[in-house]
Amino acid sequence: MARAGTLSLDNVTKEFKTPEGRRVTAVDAATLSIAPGEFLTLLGPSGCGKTTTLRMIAGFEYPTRGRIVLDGRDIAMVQPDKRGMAMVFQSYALFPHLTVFENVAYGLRIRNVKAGTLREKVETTLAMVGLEGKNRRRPSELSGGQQQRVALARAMAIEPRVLLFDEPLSNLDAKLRVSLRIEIRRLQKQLGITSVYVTHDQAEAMALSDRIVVMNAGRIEQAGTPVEIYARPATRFVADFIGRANFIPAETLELGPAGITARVAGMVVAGIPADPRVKAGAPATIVVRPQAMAVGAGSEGYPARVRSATYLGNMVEYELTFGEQTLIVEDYTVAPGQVLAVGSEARWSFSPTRAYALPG
Amino acid sequence: MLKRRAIDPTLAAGLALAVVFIAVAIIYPLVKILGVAASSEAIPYFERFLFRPTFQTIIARTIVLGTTVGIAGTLIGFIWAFVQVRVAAPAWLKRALHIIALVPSVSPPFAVAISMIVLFGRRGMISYGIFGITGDVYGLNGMTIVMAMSFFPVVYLTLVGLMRGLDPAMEEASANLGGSKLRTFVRVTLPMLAPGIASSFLLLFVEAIADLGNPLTIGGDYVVLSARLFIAINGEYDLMAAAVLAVILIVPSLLVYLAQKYFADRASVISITGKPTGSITLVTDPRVRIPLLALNGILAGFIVLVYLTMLAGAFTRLLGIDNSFTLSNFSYVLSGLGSEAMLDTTRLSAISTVVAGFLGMLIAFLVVRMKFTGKGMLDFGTMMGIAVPGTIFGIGYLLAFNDPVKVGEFVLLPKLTGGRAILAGEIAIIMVFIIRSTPAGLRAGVAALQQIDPAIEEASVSLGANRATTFGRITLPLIRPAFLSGLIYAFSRSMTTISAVIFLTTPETKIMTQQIYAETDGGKFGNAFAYIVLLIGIVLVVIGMLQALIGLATGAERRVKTE
Repeated sequence: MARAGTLSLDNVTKEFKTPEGRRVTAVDAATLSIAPGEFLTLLGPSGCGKTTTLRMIAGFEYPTRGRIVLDGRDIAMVQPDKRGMAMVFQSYALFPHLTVFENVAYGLRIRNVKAGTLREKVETTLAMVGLEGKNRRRPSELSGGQQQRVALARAMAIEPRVLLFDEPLSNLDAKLRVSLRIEIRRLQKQLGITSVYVTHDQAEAMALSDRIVVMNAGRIEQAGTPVEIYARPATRFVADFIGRANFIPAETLELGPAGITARVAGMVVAGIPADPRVKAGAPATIVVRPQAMAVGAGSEGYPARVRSATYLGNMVEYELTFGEQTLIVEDYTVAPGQVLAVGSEARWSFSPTRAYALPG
Repeated sequence: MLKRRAIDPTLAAGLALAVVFIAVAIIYPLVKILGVAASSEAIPYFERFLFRPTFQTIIARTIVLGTTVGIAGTLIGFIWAFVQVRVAAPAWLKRALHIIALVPSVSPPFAVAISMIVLFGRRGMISYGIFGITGDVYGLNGMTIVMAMSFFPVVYLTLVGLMRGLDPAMEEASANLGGSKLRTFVRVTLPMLAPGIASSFLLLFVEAIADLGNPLTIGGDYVVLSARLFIAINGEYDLMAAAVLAVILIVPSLLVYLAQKYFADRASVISITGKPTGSITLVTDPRVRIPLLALNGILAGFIVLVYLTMLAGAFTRLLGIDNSFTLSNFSYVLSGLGSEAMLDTTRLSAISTVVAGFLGMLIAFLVVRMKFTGKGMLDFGTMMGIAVPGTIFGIGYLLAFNDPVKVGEFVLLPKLTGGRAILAGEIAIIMVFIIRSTPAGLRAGVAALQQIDPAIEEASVSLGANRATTFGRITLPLIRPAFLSGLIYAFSRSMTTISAVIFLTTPETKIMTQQIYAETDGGKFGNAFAYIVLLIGIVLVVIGMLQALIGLATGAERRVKTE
């Protein structure tokens, strides 16, 4: 099987000139390393620099500064065709004038693979993605999902050192997206190909990745496992972008081994896990996920007013007015007919161990 | 020049090749003309040409001709396109009209003029033979009719494309809001086509003021700039006068070309509004349908008549005077000088076609896909090959290449034109053929490339194919229809052009169009017609061969599902 590549980016910066001559920094000093066989996702809103980063790895763009090192060699300025990578595109980018077989065989033909080996390789790869017997079809005769499978097979057939994905599932409908991402993950693990995947869909990133790199405005905000990114976001942006979060202002009183003790809206709460940058006696922001909160008509907890209540079947989603803030609470425990009335008083609380404190 | 050091070497070589060729074959001759015209000896010429009443009349007439041809040709093209796209008619009729519309594009433009003279001239078969009147086709009217008939196919094709691209939802919206058919046409359809109509008019304007063959054949006393320019060289042997006249002619040509480009860009924005949502409603109202079909039928009949006249003329002694059947015209043309001209023209055109075909696609690829400074200049420089009238290139080449091009003692280019030129002047003729036909291929290529997702080429590159391999295996097959139309255009254009090459032929190298002109000038219409028939025959055969060789489809077309 393919020799999985080790890839690292060292202070990679990309500046563009706008037509008016202004300089725009699309990617700002990105530094990260990807282990052999690792599945790494670049995640962020559009315009965050994730696609530019991927295209620099592929060689379709060249960095203004910085190094891109593949297996010990700086490839930042190497032609894209000499990098031994392969890319799966959002638009599939199949060769419309070639059959499915010839699409998958393309990279092998470039490498002068012998006819017999080539045929076998193409057929096993097509079988892997579940497209046996479609050899002689044209791309236009296939469904969107099948087309993307061909694109995947085409990229895998050459056993690339790094496999690149540029939002490959965003043109597909929701159901197909889920089933195909499970398949991508399975194949990637089975083959052990180092993979870099770009998406703006956080669920996709969570489901696929060994590690996620969250980008914003050209910068890397945080790199970590899905659990780290979700449970211990490094910045407010990450907390807000991955899932939903309430940000409650607080003041740190004490640092302890089991988390900090803080004054949160007038009450002292202990045992909140915290970012290492949080200091005693300084202001902090407590990140609380909507499902880590409880709400009820009782007398315990913080007083608030119900602004809206939306019954969604498996849960009720509340918007609470709490001082100047609007908090979102997901209540999975409510029985039908017990939804709090809009405008009524309610009390809310949160589970400190499922919250996370950020400095400032 | 290029933004990055990591440039693919084959692309860099391609770019260098294109730039050098454009610089030598287009820019250098034009700079030469400007240089001569800017010298102090040129001042009296400018005074003469710009301020003497005789010359002011020539300039005014040139502009009048451009305008009348622009209006007439656009009108014909519009009617033809409208009938094709919007009027209910049997499929065979539309097909026939479509084919007839394309006929003028494979014949030398002044072939129509010769037929017109035979049919409607002083002793014309129709004017004198049937009605007994002494027709007068020479002058503005004749030129307008002939040029409009010869140049309208390009307008027709443009407008057909635009009309098909219009989103029927717009008209449906108007009808839905209570607009009558006429009101919808005037207030919705026409305004949407306006940029295309404006661009067509201007295109014809440029073609008309640039044309040389027709003014020489049927212009009579109505002398326009291009004809005057021809006299300056072939009658007065005054290159200085020619250079000054060329500069005067360049100004309106380039201005109008730029205006045309402006409108054409706006027209293309409309044409890509996406897939039509509804289907086009055809005009069935007989009050509109019958007159339009009749008008189109008359125009088509006229074209058929004109071309049948050529065919008949080729096989008769002197059509209209002595109508007896003969093959002597062909035997004259095919023996000696004639066959030489035929072989030379075909050979030189074939070479130019291959070069222009690839060059057009290469420049299109560079312009659409690559990032480099001076990209716009490369595009514009290439387009100058057609924006600037051919006669001007003829003069430019004489000025630029009549002596070897030297830097110090080092000869960069040998003598390319005139007597004792290298390869009997063939190089210069090929260069002119190429620069005149590359622009069409470039535009077709650009349009085709813009339809292709760049990710398809990136996919190929990411799989390990270099840019050259990608171009050969992926890009070129996908833009094959554009490539084919570029080749067809290049071959027909080269075979039928006269304006640029008439100054560049040498005693050893004869060009068919020039022979046709010479025969016409000598009143030997039979010989001229025989040449024209052969020329059209060669063009049609080569088009057929190109289609068979390259194929009309890319293989990427959507197929009907079988399951």
